[in-house]
Amino acid sequence: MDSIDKTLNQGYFPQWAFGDEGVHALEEDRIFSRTWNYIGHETEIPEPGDYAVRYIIDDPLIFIRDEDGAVRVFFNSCRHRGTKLCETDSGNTSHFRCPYHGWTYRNTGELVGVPQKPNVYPGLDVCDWNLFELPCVDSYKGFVFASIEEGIPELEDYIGEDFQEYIDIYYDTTEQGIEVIGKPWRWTGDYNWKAGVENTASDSYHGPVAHASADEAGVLRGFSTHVERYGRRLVDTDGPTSGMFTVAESDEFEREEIFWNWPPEVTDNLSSDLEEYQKNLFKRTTFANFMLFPNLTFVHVDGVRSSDAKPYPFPFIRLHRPIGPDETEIWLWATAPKEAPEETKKKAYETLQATFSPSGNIIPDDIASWSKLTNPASSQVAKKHDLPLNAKMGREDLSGPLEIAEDWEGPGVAGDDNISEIGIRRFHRMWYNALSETDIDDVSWEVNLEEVQ
Amino acid sequence: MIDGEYETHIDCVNFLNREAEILDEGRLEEWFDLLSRDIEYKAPIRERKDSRTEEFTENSYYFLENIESIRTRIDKNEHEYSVSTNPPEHECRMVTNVRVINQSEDKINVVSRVLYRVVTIDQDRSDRILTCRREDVLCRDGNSFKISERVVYFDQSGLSGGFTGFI
Repeated sequence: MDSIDKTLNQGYFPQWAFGDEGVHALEEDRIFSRTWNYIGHETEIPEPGDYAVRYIIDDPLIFIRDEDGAVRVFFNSCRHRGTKLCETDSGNTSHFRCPYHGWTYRNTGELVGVPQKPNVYPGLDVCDWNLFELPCVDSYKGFVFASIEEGIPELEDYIGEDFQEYIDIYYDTTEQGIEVIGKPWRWTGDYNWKAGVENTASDSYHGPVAHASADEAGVLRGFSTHVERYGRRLVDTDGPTSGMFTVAESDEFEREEIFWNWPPEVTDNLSSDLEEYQKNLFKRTTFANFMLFPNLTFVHVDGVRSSDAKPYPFPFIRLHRPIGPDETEIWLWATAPKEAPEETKKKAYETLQATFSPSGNIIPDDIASWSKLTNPASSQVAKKHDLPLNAKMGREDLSGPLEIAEDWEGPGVAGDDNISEIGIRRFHRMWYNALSETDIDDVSWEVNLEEVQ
Repeated sequence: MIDGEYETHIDCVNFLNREAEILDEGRLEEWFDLLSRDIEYKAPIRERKDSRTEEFTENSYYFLENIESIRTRIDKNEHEYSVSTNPPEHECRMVTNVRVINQSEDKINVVSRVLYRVVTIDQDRSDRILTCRREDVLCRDGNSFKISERVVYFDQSGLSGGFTGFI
């Protein structure tokens, strides 16, 4: 751990940590088992009895709205012999019945049926054998999180006020809030989960190169130039978060096309909980891109389905579920404000499908890059020579003092440089902080600016 | 078989086999010419459900394409700097179980199954197989056909890998 700390202090990252089985096991134990993992959005289970099967690492969970209307997250395992209860991906049910011996649970988790109980289990107190519910389940603005272990901070303390505000502005913008559209996409890639999260944390450097083909095909519409001009990168927040935004200087965009063209049904119904400066920030933002440790990313941008199509905004949520050091399953959810007209929601979905879905024009080039990053990491060469990867871009010893964007109106502190790896360094520190402590109480969830600059 | 049905069946088999070969060899411009300008090309997301009939969603898709989106995808994937397709993947599409379900003077409904193997990146690092059922509407076009509609039904709910190619 000490040698990793030293490497991070120099603005580097140990290459072998992207491909090591031991690191992966430690991440499962010290990160994914004891943190707020994203489970789903409340709008995915709108009615009592609605459920979806979700995962923390490979642990199967039932994400359900019980008959009393409460959102629950249960371990998908019968309390009798541990048999997996629910083998369908989603649905609606009042009860779960184990196929092995017939133990039956209400969707509230209560054990209500034990076949032949008076003969076989006369002394059994069913109250002691309800479905196991994860000890920490909470939600913020409809985003439901859960933790396998206790002892972590309350959800709102964990995510911090800055991140809450980004959700409020970009993912709870209107009076009625957002809803998930359709079912999530799920697909695997041969890459380490950290590569995917790094990309959202702070990587605008890759845009002109990894997405050159999409650019030439007419998909990016000058996006990289836009980032250069209007980019603001988070350099400090009050939680395990990072991100990047592009915000036009005024309502008058110099470009012919406005990036975000949400219709009046959305822009005339901004939430009364938002203050004026927050509403203005939303209207002038053209790219909002932020991550929550460990593996949840948010991107609110617009794009096109084809080179001659009209652009539409499509806010989405993405999770990198770790399967092994060289394998990750991506979950992708399309969202839109509830007030948006059906046609806008349809266009948002189509545009996301054409860009960031498994067959899209954008994400396959990212995943191919992450896979190429992951492959050499499990080598003896990287391990024996402790090869450092370079995440120094924007650091003081390379680029001079950090210039803070004094005019940044959003929460957190933003830097004026729009191409920097400071967010990646922040993510590396979050990772190290969680990994290096045996005791959850000793984990620091905030990253100080001095540590990464 | 009634007179004419056998010929239609053979024509469809030959067409689908030729299409598979064109795609396997990455001849995307030739494949583009096999598509109707008003093509609808879809692959609904599948979930595990209690009943087979409910498994395919009605509003969620792995592919949801029209001729313009296919054109842009081809332009993007054929570019020399396309990271995911350069170097090109090795693809193999085995088309089988071809049946003509219905035909009229100008349209044929044909179903088929495809075993799609794709080996990605150097040293054959990723080698995966997907299977699917396809429902096509083919329009007669001289001695050949154009594909005017295709729905792909995958045999997986979560996919093992994404797609740079068309099925």
